[in-house]
Amino acid sequence: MSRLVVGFLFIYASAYKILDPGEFAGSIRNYGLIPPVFSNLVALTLPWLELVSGTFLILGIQTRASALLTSLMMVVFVGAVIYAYAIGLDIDCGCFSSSKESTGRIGLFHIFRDGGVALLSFWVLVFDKGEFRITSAFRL
Amino acid sequence: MVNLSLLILKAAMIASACLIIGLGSNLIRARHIPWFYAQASEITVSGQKIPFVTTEEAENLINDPLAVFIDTREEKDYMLGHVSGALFLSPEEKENRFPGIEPLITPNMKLILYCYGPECDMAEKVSAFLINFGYTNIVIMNEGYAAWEKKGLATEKSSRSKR
Repeated sequence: MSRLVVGFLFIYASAYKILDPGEFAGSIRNYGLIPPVFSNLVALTLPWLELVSGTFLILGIQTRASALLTSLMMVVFVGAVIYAYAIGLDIDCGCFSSSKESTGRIGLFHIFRDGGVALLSFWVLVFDKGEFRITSAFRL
Repeated sequence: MVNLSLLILKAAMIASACLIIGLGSNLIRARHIPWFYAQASEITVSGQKIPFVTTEEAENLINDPLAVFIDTREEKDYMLGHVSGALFLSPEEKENRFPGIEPLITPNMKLILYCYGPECDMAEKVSAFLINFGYTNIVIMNEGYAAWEKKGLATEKSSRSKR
């Protein structure tokens, strides 16, 4: 069950990023955690990694490897969110907005949400027994 | 140990495949983005080219009597700290605030607009507004106030925003 939840969440998260990598790259630059020159490269790769990992988790293909990738991604995401929260970063404008009305402002909700997904992902990595694999459906 | 190595290898192979897919799909996209981001040197606003300047270039103008810094961030942040001598004119309040600062900025002056950072579009919005009033000598300090402050350049606080 954890595998399906993590899988669907990653597929859902990847959708808008694949459709608009330019905007996603802007958000990455707003975090200020990596040199801006690499922001486009990350924006073009990460969403596909999310989509493929999520799909593999759901289908039960290379589950452990996919869970390792999702877990690593969640460690990075949680770290970035905690950093953004600590400095009051508003992701929409890359500003340090003190306005509570700002929709891009990172809050505790984001930290707990991403932290929860990270825990689920690690759970799959460590405890998944490989049940409900799509490949099992093709065995005679 | 072997299992862990194999696990890492499989994960690396999936990641590599996704890199190829991501870069490849970008090439066939109508609005593709460059693989490596390069900051533009200017933008076009209302048909007028607005150059970007660095904080170093902007610093050279701080004592120029014909240069005026304009802070386009939110008023709360302006009052907490802004470039020394900067006027306040945010996108949300430009219509209300402009009559107060118009006497201070003549059309022959160089206006240096700034907001929070490179991805902030507030300076762009205010520049479009100013262009409509005939101001043509506008530049944007693209790195924003964050970079100015980080470099320890001249700043001041306000209890009331300059009008």
